[in-house]
Amino acid sequence: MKLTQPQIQQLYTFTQKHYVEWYDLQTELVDHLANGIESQLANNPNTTFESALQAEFKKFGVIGFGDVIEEKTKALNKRYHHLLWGYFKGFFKLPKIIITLFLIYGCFQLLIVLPNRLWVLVPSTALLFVIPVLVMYKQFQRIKQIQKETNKKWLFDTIIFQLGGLIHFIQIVIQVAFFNINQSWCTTFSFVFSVGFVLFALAFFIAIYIVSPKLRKDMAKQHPDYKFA
Amino acid sequence: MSNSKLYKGSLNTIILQLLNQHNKMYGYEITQKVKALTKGELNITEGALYPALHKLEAEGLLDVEVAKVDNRLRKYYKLTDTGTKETVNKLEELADYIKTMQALVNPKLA
Repeated sequence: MKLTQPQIQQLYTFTQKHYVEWYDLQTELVDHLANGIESQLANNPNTTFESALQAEFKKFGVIGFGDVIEEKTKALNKRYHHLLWGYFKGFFKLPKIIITLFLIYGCFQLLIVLPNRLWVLVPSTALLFVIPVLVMYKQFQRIKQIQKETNKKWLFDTIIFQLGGLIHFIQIVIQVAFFNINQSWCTTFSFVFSVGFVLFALAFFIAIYIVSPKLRKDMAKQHPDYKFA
Repeated sequence: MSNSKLYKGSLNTIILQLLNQHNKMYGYEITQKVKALTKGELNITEGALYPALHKLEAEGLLDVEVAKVDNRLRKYYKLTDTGTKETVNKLEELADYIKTMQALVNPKLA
């Protein structure tokens, strides 16, 4: 006996009540629960939908869907990092390594040549962070719009929005750039900073303009309900 | 699982090998297939299966496709090219492990 559409909807509500807010994860769990319930109802026609559901849910263990949510989040982050790293490595191979070296050299030269390093740090950090903030604001609006139109949240989008955790490193870069601003930097530190700054900027650029769009495209290909806007 | 600790390390290999034999499968189907093949001896728990599937997907070993079946959506997993290669490696590793264990616990059969 196949479950009805209202029963399937009930399963979506059930997963939501058990802290699975994201449609991509809900879909898989709903199908799993539905299969288990259908099998129970077929083997024992006296079983009710509700008791079969509780029995299936128990199989997920004492913390319910907690493990699945945690591991799925970790797995998505891992996939994000894996892709990011793949593209990042590309900037250390010809021909892109020329751009990488040129950017490091340019940043380093500006830091040592200009009398005040703030002339470099202020515009470059502004360029590095203001543009992504605007892009992310646009992303946030897009996610909100999708949620409003379809009433669906995607775990995928949450990971993309946080750039796989990369966003948390912004603060560190700003702190290093503007730490002890009155003290001059030695050449070695200027060089190390230039390398770190350019590498971080590259990672940021790859995350926003390459990895995130790619993951959204993949998701749209995989999931018929994913609205790719 | 009858002895979860012993089987835990082989869960990924079990999943990969099943997908190698069946082209594409969904989560519930995997649990049932394992149960049937082992005559109920090995029961993969839901709490272990999905994290393993998601991890393998993140590692690029599995590809995913979502299709409408009956009145709901179903997520199918299938091996990627890397996944197919990795299955061979994992099976070899498992065979070596079984051989080593055999030599330790039952030297006459090894």
